[in-house]
Amino acid sequence: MLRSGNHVLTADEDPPTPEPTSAIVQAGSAEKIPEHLQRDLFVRYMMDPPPEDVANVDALFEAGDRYGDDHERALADLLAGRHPLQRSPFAAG
Amino acid sequence: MLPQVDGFLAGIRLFVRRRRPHAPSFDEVTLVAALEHAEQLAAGEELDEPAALFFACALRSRAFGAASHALLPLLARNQAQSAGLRLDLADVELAILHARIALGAIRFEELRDAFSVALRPTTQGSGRPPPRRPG
Repeated sequence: MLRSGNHVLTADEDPPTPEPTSAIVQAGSAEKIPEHLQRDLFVRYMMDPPPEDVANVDALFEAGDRYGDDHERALADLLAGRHPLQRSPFAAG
Repeated sequence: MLPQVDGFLAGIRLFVRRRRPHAPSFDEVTLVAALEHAEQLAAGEELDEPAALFFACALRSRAFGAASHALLPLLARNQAQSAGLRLDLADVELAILHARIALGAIRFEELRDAFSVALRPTTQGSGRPPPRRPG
């Protein structure tokens, strides 16, 4: 006999599926897109961009976190080779 | 053709929220203004739309928040693709152009020229000249 919480299970009874954690709920509840926008070419591209177009996306988000709207500092780091993109193996492509 | 307003906003929200679920929301009024500005800059010339959209959005980077760095290259690449072209500029080059536009250090005409020589037909290999600009 198995115990799951307060409910006592018999040996041939499957335990209930656990409730998803809040993180799973969040990941699963992706923004609903109205039907007419699901055919929109821009939405389709942004939903599933070609891998080569997002090869550097992590470095670019890191750049956003680092520089925000400070483009002077971003440009200085780009010219000095210190920008997050310049650590990326895909930066040249 | 440039993106439609509702698709533009939805696509941007979708891309960012999938990668940064807690990112602050965008200044959508300014994003719409960027799209309208891009239409004016391109003036109906499809080959100029990638540069026009990139320029208008880079001028208004703040409206995209920190995601501007990741979004702007995608906007330009998608716009080129929608015209049957590929934009042969590396993300580092686009990041430099983005910063220079935001700092007011480059005019649209200069950006348009830089994009013009980097646009290639997607059906042909790299190194071919871009399609002729009418007129």
